[in-house]
Amino acid sequence: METNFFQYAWRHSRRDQILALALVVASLPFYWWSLEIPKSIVNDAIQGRAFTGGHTEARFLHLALSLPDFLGGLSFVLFDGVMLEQMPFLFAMSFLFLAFVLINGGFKYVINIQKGVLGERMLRRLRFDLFARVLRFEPEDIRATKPAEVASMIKDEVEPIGGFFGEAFITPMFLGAQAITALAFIIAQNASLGMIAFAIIAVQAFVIPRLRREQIRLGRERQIASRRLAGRIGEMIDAAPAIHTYGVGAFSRAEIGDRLAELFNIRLLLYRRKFAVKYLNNLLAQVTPFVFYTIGGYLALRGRLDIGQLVAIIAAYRDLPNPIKELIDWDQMRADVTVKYEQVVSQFSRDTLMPPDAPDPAAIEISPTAPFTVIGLQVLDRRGVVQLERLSTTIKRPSHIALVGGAGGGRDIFPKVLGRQIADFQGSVMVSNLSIHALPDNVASRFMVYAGADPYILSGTIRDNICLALRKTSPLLPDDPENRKEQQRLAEARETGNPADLFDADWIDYASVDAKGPDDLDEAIARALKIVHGYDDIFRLGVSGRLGADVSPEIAERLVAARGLIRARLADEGLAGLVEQYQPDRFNMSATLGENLVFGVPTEGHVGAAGLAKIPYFRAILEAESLVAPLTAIGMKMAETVIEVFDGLAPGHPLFERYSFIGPAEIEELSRSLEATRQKSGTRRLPLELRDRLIGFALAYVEPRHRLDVIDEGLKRRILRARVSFRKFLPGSYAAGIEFYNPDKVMSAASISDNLLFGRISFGAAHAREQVSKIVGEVIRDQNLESFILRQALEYEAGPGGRLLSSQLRMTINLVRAILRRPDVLILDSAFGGLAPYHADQILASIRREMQGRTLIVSLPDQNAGAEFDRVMVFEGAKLAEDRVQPAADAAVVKAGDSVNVAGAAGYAEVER
Amino acid sequence: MTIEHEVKSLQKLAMFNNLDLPKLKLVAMISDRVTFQPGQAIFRAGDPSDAAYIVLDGSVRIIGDDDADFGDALCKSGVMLLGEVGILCGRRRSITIIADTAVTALRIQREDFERLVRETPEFGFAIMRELAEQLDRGSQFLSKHLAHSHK
Repeated sequence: METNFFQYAWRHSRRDQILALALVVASLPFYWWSLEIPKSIVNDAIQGRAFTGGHTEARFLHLALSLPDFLGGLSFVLFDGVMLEQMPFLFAMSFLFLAFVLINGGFKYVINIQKGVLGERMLRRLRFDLFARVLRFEPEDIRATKPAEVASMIKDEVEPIGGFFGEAFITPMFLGAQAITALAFIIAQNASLGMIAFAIIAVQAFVIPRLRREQIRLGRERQIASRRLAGRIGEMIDAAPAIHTYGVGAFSRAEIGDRLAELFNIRLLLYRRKFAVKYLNNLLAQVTPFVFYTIGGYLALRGRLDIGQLVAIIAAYRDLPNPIKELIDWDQMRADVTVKYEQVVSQFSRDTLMPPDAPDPAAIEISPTAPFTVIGLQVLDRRGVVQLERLSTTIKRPSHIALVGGAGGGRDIFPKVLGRQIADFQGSVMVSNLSIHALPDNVASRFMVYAGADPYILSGTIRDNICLALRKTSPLLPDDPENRKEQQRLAEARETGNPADLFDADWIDYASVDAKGPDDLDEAIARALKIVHGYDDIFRLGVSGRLGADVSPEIAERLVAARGLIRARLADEGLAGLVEQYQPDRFNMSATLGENLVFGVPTEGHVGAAGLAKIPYFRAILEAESLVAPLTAIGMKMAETVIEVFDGLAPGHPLFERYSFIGPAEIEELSRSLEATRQKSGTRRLPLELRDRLIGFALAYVEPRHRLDVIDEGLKRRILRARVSFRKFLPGSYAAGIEFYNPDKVMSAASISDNLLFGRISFGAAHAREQVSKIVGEVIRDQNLESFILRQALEYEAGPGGRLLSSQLRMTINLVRAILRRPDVLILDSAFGGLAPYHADQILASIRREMQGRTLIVSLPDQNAGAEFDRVMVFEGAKLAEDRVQPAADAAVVKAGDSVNVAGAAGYAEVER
Repeated sequence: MTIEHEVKSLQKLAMFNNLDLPKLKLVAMISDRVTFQPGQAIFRAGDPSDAAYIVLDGSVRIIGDDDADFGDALCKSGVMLLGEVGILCGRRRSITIIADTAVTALRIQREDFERLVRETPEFGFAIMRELAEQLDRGSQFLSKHLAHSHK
């Protein structure tokens, strides 16, 4: 990337710049004429010079191309013009002047637009170049980069630079040309007056930037001084107790007073300077007309200059100071922007960058049996501490290799070098005579995938994250010459060096997972999920997720049918008591008070229990059934319990999940407002807002879950009564907002699990969830609902950085991606972090079966593990201590791998948390 | 039974001596109360270690790997904490535990149990003490048996 701003701008926007410059040049004659015409108006039309000597008519619009006299004075008449009398001549000339004013305005407009577009294009290019560059940083550099800084540089700091791209060449040319034209015009009218004007401009151009420089220095000083003042004031307020204790207020006041004086002095200097510059500017602007009036007037009276010329000179001069001033501004901006540009670009330059993507990755063939040749590999960290001692070996492919040893030693470093996560090493790692480090991403990723301990989850759905591994085809560019919008998009992308590929296109390489299209992709995903034992987790997520409104009638029918089947199965196995069905005339102990009251679900997701309490109609029902007081009391008790126990808990504590109706940030504030009301008037007269909140808490209450013993028979009766009246009097405007429980209909706003069970699993009975889940899983499979639920689960939002997913799910996604990619070489570097070892072992065994006949390199935490691998490399600290090749290990695995036996839907209860 | 009752029961357990009231409440609130019928398995050997149990009421029987019934030999003082070993060691259940009478217990999920141990030091200490206690009982039991067989 060019380190010089002007080189960068010229190289990438030459065409646009030249086009704009051509416009500038084209505008000059018109500008000249617009100066010329007033002269003719005054001299010929008003003073009547054209009409002297008996002429009553004058020639208007005589257009001729003529050579200067010294070239022979040949002239070619384009248009002979028309003869006009004095009055029409005046009007015609005036309108001609107006026309030129309009034309000049038009030029200005077009040039400004051109400048703006050019600036935006270059800004787009610069931002994209910077981003593309960051993606090519070596892994070490990327780790040392602060994402927020890079983002703010690309977003904010570059913005003023972008604006200047349009100004870089055009502004000095345009303004300079204008100034020179005006000056030339003046000189053409009268050389001596012209020279005077020139001299004044020269003074302006020389003196003002010098004065300004001082102004800028003072401005910077002012900024620093006021920043320091703010810092000191803050410090003193913090230290106020000490200041009081030692009675040194006078000293502190003196310091602040002193600082204010310093600031005052700087500002005073600044104002003096600022107005001095202004004064000088104005003086120079005004003195010149003085010169023109006196000297010009004298010359005019002497007849050496006509009045029209004088008027024209003054008019031309009026146009001069502006371009000059703007040119000076431009120069200042140039200094500012070039420094900024250089500073930003230097942040993005590195000695070594990763190679760019290969244009045709398939051309570089890497054989699946080509071994890794490691020669003299040594890794030092930045302080020179040896992380991996010199190591030379050959890794046969295909083979399964276990790396064991203590954490942080060679066991962790070696896979990172192989997986291209460490680029700063000595020695070489080659495959097929190519250094793996020099391979472009799109070549290396074709045969090798590295999965580390920190899965990178982007915001988007789980499906988006899993399919990241498959987004590798270049989608076809829609080449439709008719589609103007598309053509424009393409042209603009080319213009700015941005990729022409469509982001919204289908990038998924279906063929790589033997799928024909989006429809059978899920099957491949399900298979990969089963291999990494993540299917049950994802499936469970689907079952507990909202059903959503876009469910086909056929699926809805099957869901309703499944309800009956599940109930029958539960009854058959004597487990009917484990699920408490929704019944219109029964209180459901396993559901919340709110669900019991409404006997349905609000369809708008955001109307949770807390939102319900704010709806006037709902409140009216509560009042009518005299439920306000008991619900407030329940809410109060919940709040008090929560405040007592939660005080001092870390915000991520699992208890907050259980009491999700109250957020960690809310607790302190809630505790304060409860305290305040208690002091003021007892609990009797709560502010309405607080009361609604407490009722909101109460509506989320489930007796066997929260166990505060606040529900008695009387309350149940009243809630059942309220249930009836709530439904009976529900106004039409709310009717669409509530889905009542109906055994024959699905509830789009409820979870799939609620839809299937049409009730809640009872709390308290041992293993109820596991037993019910098992039956539900079987029915789901019988009813062919499995793929539907998987589809729903994959649409689950992962949140930024995967924050909405459990760590186990994040790990699952990390592994599924790698499996789905079907690489020749899979490197798993502590990729099972956080899993119970027995679970990790199962997953590893399953991945080993899948990777049979391909290469798998795994780092294992357990020193004694890896018995069944082809080769075990044991690291002691940074050193390879033992290297065992185990020829017999292979056979055992092949046997076990005959069929990929993995848990299906039926087993989804197996790992129930 | 309510949180208050559970806290009272927890207070009676020796292992929770050091926990103050809010911490006991925290333990109660983070767990689910479950009941087991006599003869019902609390968990079986080979099951994933998904939760720990604190027995509030009732007694249990432990069955080892080889179906040997330990009776209540290992838990004379009454096993209060079940299933913590599998969680802490990241293993599947190694023994089967059957409810002898009707059992009421607090069930703490694996993740919650881990967080509690990590973030509530008093709780972690109580668990450590209980484990040490078990270890001590186990070794006493063994030495007694060994002495017995030597005679």
